[in-house]
Amino acid sequence: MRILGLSGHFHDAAAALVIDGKLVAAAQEERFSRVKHDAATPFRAAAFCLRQAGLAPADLDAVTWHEKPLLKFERILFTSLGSFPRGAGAFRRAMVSMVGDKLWVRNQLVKGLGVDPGKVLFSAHHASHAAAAFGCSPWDDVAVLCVDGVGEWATTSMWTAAPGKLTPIHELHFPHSLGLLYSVFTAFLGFTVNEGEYKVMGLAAFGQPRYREQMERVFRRQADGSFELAMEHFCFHYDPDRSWTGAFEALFGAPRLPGGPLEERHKDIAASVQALTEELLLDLARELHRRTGKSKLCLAGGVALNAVSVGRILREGPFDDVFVMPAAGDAGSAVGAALLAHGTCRDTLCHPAWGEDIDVAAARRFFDDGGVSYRDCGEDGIASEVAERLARGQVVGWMQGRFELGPRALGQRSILCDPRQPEAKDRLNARIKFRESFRPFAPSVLAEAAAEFFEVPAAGSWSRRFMTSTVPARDDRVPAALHVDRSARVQEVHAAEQPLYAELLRRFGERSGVACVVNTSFNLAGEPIVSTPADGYATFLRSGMDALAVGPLLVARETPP
Amino acid sequence: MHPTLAGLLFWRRKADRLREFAETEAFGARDLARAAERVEDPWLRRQLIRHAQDEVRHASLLGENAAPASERALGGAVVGDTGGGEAGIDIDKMGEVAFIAFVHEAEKRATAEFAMHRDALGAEGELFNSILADEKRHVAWTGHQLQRWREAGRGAEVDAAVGRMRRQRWMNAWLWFARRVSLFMSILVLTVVFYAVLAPFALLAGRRPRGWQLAPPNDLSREF
Ligand SMILES: [Fe+2]
Ligand SMILES: [Fe+2]
Ligand SMILES: [Fe+2]
Repeated sequence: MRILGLSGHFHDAAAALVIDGKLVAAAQEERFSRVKHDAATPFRAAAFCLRQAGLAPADLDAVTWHEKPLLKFERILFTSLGSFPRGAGAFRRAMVSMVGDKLWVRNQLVKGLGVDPGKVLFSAHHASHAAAAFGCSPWDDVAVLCVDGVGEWATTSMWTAAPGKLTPIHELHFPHSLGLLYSVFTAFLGFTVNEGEYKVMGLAAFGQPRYREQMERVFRRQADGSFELAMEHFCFHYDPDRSWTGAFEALFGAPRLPGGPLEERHKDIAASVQALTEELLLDLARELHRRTGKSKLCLAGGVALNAVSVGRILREGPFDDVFVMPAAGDAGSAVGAALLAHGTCRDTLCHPAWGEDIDVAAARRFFDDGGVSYRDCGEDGIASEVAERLARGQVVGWMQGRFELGPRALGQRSILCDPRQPEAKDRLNARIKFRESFRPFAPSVLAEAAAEFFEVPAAGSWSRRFMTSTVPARDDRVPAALHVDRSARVQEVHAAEQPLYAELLRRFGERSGVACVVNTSFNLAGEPIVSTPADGYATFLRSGMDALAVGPLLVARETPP
Repeated sequence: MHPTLAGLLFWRRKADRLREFAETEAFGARDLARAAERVEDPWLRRQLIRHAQDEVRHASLLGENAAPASERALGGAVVGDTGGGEAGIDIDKMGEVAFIAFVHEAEKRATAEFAMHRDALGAEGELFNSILADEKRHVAWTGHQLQRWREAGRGAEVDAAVGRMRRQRWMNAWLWFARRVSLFMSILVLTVVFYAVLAPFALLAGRRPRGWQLAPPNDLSREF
């Protein structure tokens, strides 16, 4: 069976190919179109998946879309009517976007891919999330919790899963959504929705949750883990240009303008919404555990990318272990849609590298023709060359193998530096990535050395392959990789899965005494992570990196900045 | 020289304009580099990479003189779609001839615009001198490449692409106008539909139930 799973039309469109129950390729559309969070129907990502497997569209047994377009349409229609007479704006926008385009997914796929209409399938959005969460996990009998902005109607859902069997328990419906609440605060704090959520999470560590009482007013928690938004504070359901009302501002004050100064109040609001999110996810986990009695939990949906919350569920929650796959957001629902159509099969995700490979010959040709001087360090030499440079304090762009699935760089398309120098963080933020100073960086550490630096329990080791949870640091040996609260979003690197990256860490450890590097995604603020050598080179040129490693090739900046 | 009206207008938003230029240059670099990866001809590839390197230099020259980029304003649209970043020009979609024809026309325009800015900015316009020299080279090499294709018997293809690019400026203006009109019409019609036709159904839509719900069945063959 050859099944292509696709997601899109909201944010982070992606394609994934599953052949006979095994994931073969998966990638986000943005890596090909270079439009960050590209939500367009992912034809390029689909073409890549087919290319990777040497298949033509006609060879596919099914193409599964990650949601039910008609149900989504129903939700949008009902919501704008439900707030009559205020919903006219939302209604117009929805009609233009849905009826003009997004409602006709089957047609688009038939035309764009050239597949038979009968082969196009549709999986409910949260079922797609759940199938991905379970299907990528290492366990056969799990409870699944999905929490995101919204799919069709569901915003939160509980499941149990086993091979061949995905069973829904209960779900909460729009507009009562934790993901949307987080997004409202993201916009309120002056960040871009669907992009700035990480910034809110980063900012939260600088504040105190002093807005608890106000939070309780806009968000009501119930004893059974469910919750509702007090809708008089929100207008995202009927106003296409605003998401909060005057009542909301009466509680939290004026919104922060994009790019404006960050006051203590903003940090406290971020801390408050983060604290609420953590507690709510813990409530949900407890409720799910009570209902299912399972010992393992898989989390999915955009909210599952909140690594701090996942860390707390691991430490304080009722489950023995928790797994979050690297593309827990909507990109991952493409993987889930494919696995689900394959009878809810499971294929443990051991590594993140499911995208397009680097063509070293093409890279060499590119550098030759561009008059770019480079050195071929060979497969064996590149790790020690880069380790040496990192130990000397250089910042190096590192492009190896197939690019990562999901929003994080995990050693395939990363910018690396020495974690021992505290000032490395500011240098990366200001001169390399051009982003806000309060945002933390994360460490990649050799799996066997992780416990030297971080308090890593045995539980959560699968999630730590993908940087999807945070842990406390033991000491200050790697200050540049820690957040202000001395936590870190650790990636544990296994030599069996990522041999070259592990080799780099080992070599760096020999020189520096720490088998750990600062790893941040290889992109500039506002752009998608690089995919091809040309992307990497253009980004390298535009930033203050000292060197660029593309496969075995090393390009050094001629005049050090 | 006397300041022109355009010059004065630009002067008012100098930092913004410079930043805009810097961003355009940087975006251009990315698209050119990617195009270099796609083309087969070594000479063309070489020009594209060098061109990309120039644009990066321009971006940093301009960027140093511009205000820091601020975050895009976005106070709402939480439930709607995200636009994502700006799309550049794309050799995969356009094909190499149209891509180079586009770059050629764009460079011509950029050269003219940079010249105007240099004059408008007076002494500060010095910044644009080195950039202008590069831009002229960009116009030249892309023109030369189009000529090479003509000589290789692809004249019709080139002429079509260049014609398309030129027409597109008028076309874009027209499309913009047409879109405004049709948008206005659809807003009108949809507003009438919303208030006049759907009002009775609004009562039916009512409120969705709160708390835990049962999930509807997930039949993969159905769109609902
Ligand atoms: Fe989702
Ligand atoms: Fe330029
Ligand atoms: Fe140029």
